[in-house]
Amino acid sequence: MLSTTLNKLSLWFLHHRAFSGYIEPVMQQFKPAWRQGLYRAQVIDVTKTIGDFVHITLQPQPQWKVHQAGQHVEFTAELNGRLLTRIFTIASSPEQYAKHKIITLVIKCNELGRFTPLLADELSINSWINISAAQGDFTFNDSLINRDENKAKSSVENTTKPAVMVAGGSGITPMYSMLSEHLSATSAPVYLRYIAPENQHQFVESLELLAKKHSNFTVEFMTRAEHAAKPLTLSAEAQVYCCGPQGLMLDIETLSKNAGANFYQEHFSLAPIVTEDGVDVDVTVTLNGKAFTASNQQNLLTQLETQNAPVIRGCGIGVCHQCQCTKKSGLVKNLLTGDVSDSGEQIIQLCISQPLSDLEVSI
Amino acid sequence: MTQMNYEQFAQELDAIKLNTMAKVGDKDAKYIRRVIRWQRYTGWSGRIMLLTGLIHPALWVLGILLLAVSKILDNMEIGHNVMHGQYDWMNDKFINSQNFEWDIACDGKSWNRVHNFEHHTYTNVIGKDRDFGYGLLRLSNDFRWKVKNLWQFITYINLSLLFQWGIAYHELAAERVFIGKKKEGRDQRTPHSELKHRFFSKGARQILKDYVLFPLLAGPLFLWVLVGNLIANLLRNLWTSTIIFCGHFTEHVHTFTEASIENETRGQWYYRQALGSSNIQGSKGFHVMTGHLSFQIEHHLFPDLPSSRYQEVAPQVQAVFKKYQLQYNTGSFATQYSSVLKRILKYSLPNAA
Ligand code: FES
Repeated sequence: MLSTTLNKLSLWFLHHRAFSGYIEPVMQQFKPAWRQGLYRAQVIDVTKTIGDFVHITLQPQPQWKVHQAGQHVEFTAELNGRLLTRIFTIASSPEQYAKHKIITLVIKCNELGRFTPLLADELSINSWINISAAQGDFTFNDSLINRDENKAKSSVENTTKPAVMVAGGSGITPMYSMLSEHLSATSAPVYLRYIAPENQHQFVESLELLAKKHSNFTVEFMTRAEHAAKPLTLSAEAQVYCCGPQGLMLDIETLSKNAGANFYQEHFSLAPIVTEDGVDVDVTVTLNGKAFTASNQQNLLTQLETQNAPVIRGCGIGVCHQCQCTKKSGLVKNLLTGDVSDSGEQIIQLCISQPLSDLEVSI
Repeated sequence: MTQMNYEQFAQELDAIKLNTMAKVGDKDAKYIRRVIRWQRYTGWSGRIMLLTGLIHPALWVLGILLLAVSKILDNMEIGHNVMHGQYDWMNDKFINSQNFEWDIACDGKSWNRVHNFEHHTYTNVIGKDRDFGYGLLRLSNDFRWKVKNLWQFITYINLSLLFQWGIAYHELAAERVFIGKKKEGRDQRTPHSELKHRFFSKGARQILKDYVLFPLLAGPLFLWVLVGNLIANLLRNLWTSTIIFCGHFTEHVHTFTEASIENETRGQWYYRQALGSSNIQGSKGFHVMTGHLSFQIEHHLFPDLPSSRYQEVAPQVQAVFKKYQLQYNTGSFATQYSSVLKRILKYSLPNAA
């Protein structure tokens, strides 16, 4: 109530839709990275591991609410003056947060884009970044867990339903979190198939340790070729969890459907598929929720105009900012500077932006 | 002049911009946040000091000055530049051209559209850039002389004093024209009713804030605060209008015809920007207080380059101008301002030479 009034007054008289936004630059003097609507977290540790992964350990401010295993956060860091935001799954378990007040993110650094390759070098220990509240519903199916409170009524049927997890690349993070959290609470068989290029598997030791500790858990580390050579066999009562590249998730979904098994997947795509420059390919541009098709070889403004999209043309040469809109996801190339954007949210000028991947924009 | 190599001219200016843009980063983000902090500090302390007039009137005067400085920083160095998109690359939720709104009667959204599109694309093109004389002043022989031009110096003084309202009305009217011209059947984003609503709601809130709300909060000091706010707003109006006039209406600033900009190349566009603007020399602090509009030439060549970089690119731009034998119109504040006054007076009379 108080904050609603304050924000109304702020909007009317201070021209900021949130009062905290108005005082943000001042607050940041005392509390680094203090930002309206986000939680602060301090960087405790940054470690590079094999396969171009980086493990980031964070200590969120006390007000942050613990996540459920499998959930993700929006992670925002200021790199060279730019605020960049990405979604990452929390790899550590809620139990670890309860004990040590820290969470761990495991991030695959992909060479494209400005963000992830810089993380390992630019995030210094003890510096501050921002995270959102934990979100997402890719979590362990409740019926699999022998929670104390429902032990009495838990049916044998539920607790013995086997779980099958398929992780591709950095898709391992939600699985790892779920396993660390829930293995001790279930007696049903749990199988994890973890697909990644040779020598790029993360958490190998910890996963093997878990397998030793829990006789109902088995893990297999595979390359893509090995996965192809040994197709999964699923029973009808299997609970199937999948997180990884789009193709893999589609395959496993069909497989589960055919077997009549329940299928759960993590929806946010890991990295946009970038089209090759110089090869004319159509991409999908979702503008205010409506889909348009555009070639990756021309500027967005002209293409959207010819399809009667509600875009605004001004100068057409990148001066006037009339054509400006917010890109929510996807990659674009700035035709004036040749700069390739990264995949997060940012303001772009349509007349000088060439789409490099599927895009989501709003005006 | 006709033999000028426009293409090469454009390339050299583009190179300056690209090189500088590549350097933009942490330093520039810190800079704009620092200016915003100073805007807050001066504003807060100014409003508090207006209440101390009973202790000593000098404190009240100091309060007025601080408040005026705060408003000027908000309008010029922060508002104008942020709304140009100069700091959009920061991805900040508040410091960007889509969300920023300034402390002035003119609605930011209207201004953003009209100013960025009309004024910056068609700079000094008679009939297209309605900012040239604001439809009130005759500043070149391109306009037919009317009797009212005889006393346009007084019109100018009035415009300066009420500058924020003049701009608010002007941009609104311009947007009407701008939108009226849009193609049939297109989604007309801003209906007239909304424009009017914006004009009145923003304007009303500004009046409410400075002339009702804050004075009332001051209780018995109602009048001290009311008058203080009034003077602070007047000072801001005078300062902004003076600086802006120095940027475009000094004697040697050129005007262009609509015909001359048909099929204009990038080089020609740069050329027009170069001759349509004038700079003011001064100290670092002075430049900040003008919102770096004292680098009007650089601003018009590179409207979305962060203002924190204008001082750095100016010598490079000047060198390019020299090479192409273009006049780099600059001078002290006194020179430029007297030049503006001369121009206003000169064109009060029919067909000035
Ligand atoms: S239309 Fe002017 S910047 Fe895109």
